[in-house]
Order: sequence, then C-alpha cells, then structure tokens
Amino acid sequence: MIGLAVVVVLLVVALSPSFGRAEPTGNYRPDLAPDALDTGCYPLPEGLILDFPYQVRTDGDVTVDGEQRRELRVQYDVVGADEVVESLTASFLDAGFTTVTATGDVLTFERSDAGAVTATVTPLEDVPEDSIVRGTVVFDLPSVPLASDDPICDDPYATKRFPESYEPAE
Amino acid sequence: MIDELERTYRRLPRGRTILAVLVAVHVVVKLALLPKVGHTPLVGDEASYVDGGRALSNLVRDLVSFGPVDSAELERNVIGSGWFMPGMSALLTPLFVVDPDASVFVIRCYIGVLTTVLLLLAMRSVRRTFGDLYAALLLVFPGLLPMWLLFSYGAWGDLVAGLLIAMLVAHLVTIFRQVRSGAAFSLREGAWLGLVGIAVVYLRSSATLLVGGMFVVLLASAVVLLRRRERWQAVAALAVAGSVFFALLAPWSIAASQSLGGRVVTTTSVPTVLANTFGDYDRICFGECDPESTIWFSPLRYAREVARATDSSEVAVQVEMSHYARADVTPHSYTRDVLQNFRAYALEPAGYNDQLMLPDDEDTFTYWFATIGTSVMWYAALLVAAWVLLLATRRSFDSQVLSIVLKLGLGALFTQPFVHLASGRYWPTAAPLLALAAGLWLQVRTERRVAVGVGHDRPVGEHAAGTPTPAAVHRGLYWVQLFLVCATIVLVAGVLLLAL
Repeated sequence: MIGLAVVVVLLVVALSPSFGRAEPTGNYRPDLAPDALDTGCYPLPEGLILDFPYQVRTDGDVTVDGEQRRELRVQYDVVGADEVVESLTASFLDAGFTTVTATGDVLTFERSDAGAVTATVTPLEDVPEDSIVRGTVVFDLPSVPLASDDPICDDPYATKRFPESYEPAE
Repeated sequence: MIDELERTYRRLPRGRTILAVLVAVHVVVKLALLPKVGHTPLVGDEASYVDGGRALSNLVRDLVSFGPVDSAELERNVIGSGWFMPGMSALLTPLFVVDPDASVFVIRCYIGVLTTVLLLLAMRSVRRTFGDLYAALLLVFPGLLPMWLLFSYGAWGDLVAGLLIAMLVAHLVTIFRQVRSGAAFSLREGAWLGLVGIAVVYLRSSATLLVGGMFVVLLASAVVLLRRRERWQAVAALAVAGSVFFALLAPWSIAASQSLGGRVVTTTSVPTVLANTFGDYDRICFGECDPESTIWFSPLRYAREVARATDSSEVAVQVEMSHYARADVTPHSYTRDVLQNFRAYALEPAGYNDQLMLPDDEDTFTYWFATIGTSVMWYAALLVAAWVLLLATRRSFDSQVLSIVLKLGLGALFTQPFVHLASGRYWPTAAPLLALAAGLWLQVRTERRVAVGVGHDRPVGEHAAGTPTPAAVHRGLYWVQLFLVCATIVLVAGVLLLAL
C-alpha cells in the first residue's frame, strides 16, 4: 500500500512539468522603485549631482511668498553633516553655481538660469555616531515640469511626489 | 483507586465511539462552514504563503526536468523580505505541483483537508499519552470551535503550528514519564523531537521560545532524574534533537541571510514589529514613512532604499530604524501597549470573522453562530488557562508534569502580546494547549476526589537505582510549579502596576 502511494507520488512529481507552471505574484516583495533623482522625471538643476549616500523622502511643489518653488527633502546616510556641507558645496560649484551665503548648515547658491537655491542641512539629534541614517537636507529649488514620459513617473513611490489624498500608512 | 482514575480520564466507556462521533461532528460542522469561507479571497499574509507554495512547486518542476532553477522567483516568493518562514508554503507545495493554477476555493479546500488530518494526528498523539478524555476535549476545543474551523481553511501557519505543539507536548510528556521511570529515551525519539520542533518553528517562528524552552526543561529533568549511562544516553538523544533542529533550520537561515545581506536566523520582522507595536510611528523611517501603504510595507520599502543607497543590509537598517522609533518607550507606555495587545489577542476571539466570511454573510445565522459560539467556548477556555497558570498540584506525577509543561507552553505563546501587535488571528496556536488544560482540570478534580497523592508515582525501572525518591520528585515538581505561579503573578501584577 505504502509502496503504491510512493509510486503514485513519484509519478505525479515526474509528470508535474507537463501540468504547467505556477505563477506566483511576488506581491510581498514588490520591485523597489528607482531613486527619484535617477528616473529623469523631475531632474535637479542641470549639472547638479548629489555626491553622498542619500534617499529622497519627499519631492513636490510648494508656494513660497506667492511663488511656486520645489521642495526636495532627502536624508543623508553614513557621513556627517560637515561632510555633507562640503560635498554639497563642491557639487553646486561644479554645476556652475556660485556661493551666496554659507551660514552654518544653510547654504545658498546662485546660477543665472536657476536663480537662488538653498540647501538646509539638519543632522538627526538622537542617533548613535555610527548610525546609517544621519540627517536631512531640504532643498529649495526652482519648480520644474515633468521632464520624461516614462510610465515610472506616474508612480508616486518613484517620484516621491505623493498626492494630498494619500493617507498616512496604516 | 488507580483503576478509578484510569476509568475516569484515561479510558472512557465506549471511548472509541465517542471519539468517532466527535470526529464526524467536526467534519459536518466544518463542511457546513465551507461555503462561507471557501471563496473568500486570500487575506493579508495568506498571499505570501500561497506565493511561496507556487514558487516551491516550480522548484520541484525545475528539479525533475533537470532544467535551470529559477532562483530569482524563489528569492522573491519564498524568502521575500524574510518575514515568514516557509512552513505553510512547503505544505501547500503538493497542491501546486498537481494544480499550478489552483483557485482560491481549491486552495482553501486543500488546507481544510490538511488541517483536519493534522487534528486527527494530534488527537491520536494526545490519546496515546493522556487518554480518551483529553482526546475528546481536543476534538471539541478547538475541533468544534467555529472560528478555529474557519481559520482551518486559511493559509496562515498559526493553527497548524498549534496542532503540532499539541503533538510535541504529548510526546514530551511521554518522555518525561519514561525519564521518571529511570530510563533514557532513544536517539530516534530525540530525532523525532527535533523534527517536530523545527516543523513548529517553520510554521510559526515565534514559537521558537516554546520549542527551545521545552528542550531545555527536558535536558534539565534528564540530568536530575537519570543516572550514569541513562543520563548520557538522554543527553545524546537531546543532542540528536538539537542537531536535527539546527540542520533543518540552517538551509533557511543561510538562504535568507544570503538573499537579504544580513544575519537572519528565523525571520527579519522582529525590529519592525517592535517599532510598530511600541514605538513612535512618525519616527520609524527616521521621520514619517511613505503614506498610503501599510505600516509593514512602508518601513520595508524605506529600509530597502537606505540599503541601496548605502550598499548595506536592509536587515541592519531595520534594526536601527526600530531603535530610533523606540527611543521614547517608557515602562508605562510599553505596559499599556502590552495590555492593549492582550485585549486584541485574547478578548476578540471572533475578530477575524469579518475577514474570513464574505460580506454577504454578515449578520447571517452562520455569522452569529461563529461569533457567539466562539466567544462562549473561548472565554470558558481562558478561565481554564488562568486556572492552569495558577495551579500548583501535589497530586500525581502525571498531573504535575502536565501542569509544568502547560505553564511553560502557554507562557511562551502568551509572550506574543509582549512583542507583537496582536489580533484575533494568533490564538489558534494556543488553542490545542487549552484543551489539554481543560483535561488537566478534570484530572486534578478526579485526583482530589479519590485522594491521589505522592504514592501515585510512575513505576521505576531497574535503571532507577540512585535516582531521587518519589517524595523528592513530587516536592521538586511542586516547587517548580509554585515558582512558575509566582513568576506569573509577579509579571501580571508588574504589568498592571506599570500600566496604571
């Protein structure tokens, strides 16, 4: 009896490729959206590259003194605030900006096509020295239109531009 | 006297017939509930277990056809984010080997058959060790508990783990008795222990504490109660149990660790679980997480983004996120959360009714039958659970040992609200132990009635020379129970006081 059952099981297993292939959804491990600044959807001012480990937290347009501006919020990792200030300064200068002011952690740069832009560096206060995530940089930039027709730009998790209707995660 | 005991709780008159009738009632009620749950779409984590089963069935196909293995598919669907060990996925694999496109109804029917078979196997183990009355109680609770029957069509591993835990406990008590008679247990029995233990962990990783605790207690009792060669043989058998356990755990741990780039022993979910349960949600992602998702997926996505940016392990990132989110946890906030979790765990036994039954079935007779029937039976069982946690019996060795094992088992399972957001989905793991608790309640009542005492010990074998006397063993087991009772009271009182 047991022998017969074993034979049947082996037969079914041997024939299983002919039954077709199961199609798992992978829903519990969705593909990770690309870095928001790599998609080309809403690029940084031309030539500007962030040269430190970061992840974009939010991006979007805000109204400041009646003017539409872009507020880009990123978190920096692994390096300290001083290093981020140094890196940002170098990146802006490499992109053709000139330094207007550099007061502590608030950096203001200028370029003819972009006008004045600022980067405010705020370290996280209560993290260990060797923390992976170390702080936040908030950029005040000129607002830019959508620059790509890639379908990924419709994904708020890729652009980090979340509709106001989105509720906090539950 | 002993005969009366045996008649009362070991061999019921027409016991076989009673058990057969209870099995039949279980099957009838379960079939009656099938139309209510059979077509319910997969709920939450069920989807992950089912995906794992599908991917493992494809692995079987790839292996028998000597084709390349789709490791990316396995990584994504079996290991995933390391949240769940693939015990249920493995149990679902045969279904998808035969029917790769199995519908939800077929999946639920398959699981329904599987859980009934496991209930019968657990009943057989319990009957062999404890007798007809205990087996009958298991068939009533949880075998006729309406919500448990609905869950028995679900792909979560909690319920199946609970049945295996009942088998593990029955096996352990048999071994305890053998140890008391002065004889060690065999290497084969040790291997079986390890096998059941790792199966429980694969199905419900949070039961690791229970399995590990039981092994440690068994080791301690073998060292205390056995002498010379028997002692070494018992230690060797437990070493075999541990070897089997870790040998079967290793493939998962290694695969998950390699896939996720960090050390994974069982699952990766503990840091996020602790953060979500006790921490400040606005701080989990070192600030707020992305909106519109769930409190599980949003932190996960963030951890993966940080890991990508820093070329580090998402597991390590989750640990740091959890620490940051819990920075402001105080004993007061923690214990209040624990109490809330306990309420969700134990006082809403039919909480998943809405999710398991289709919306059309709300407010129907079946809906209220499931809700009220479950509540009445569950709360009665909770009273028995409280009784067993406070029990310190001086009666027979058997009742003393079961009292200790149930305290440890229920205590280990009831740690869930101390570490995890709770809901009415988790109690099925503990339900079979509550049946054993009810059996113990009846047994102790009978023992009191017929005045069983220290004299009712297990007969000792020829190897028992030099082992502790029956009186010493009884005294020891009594003190162990008292210690566990005191620990329970102190813990509960401490939580209540801190939460005030």
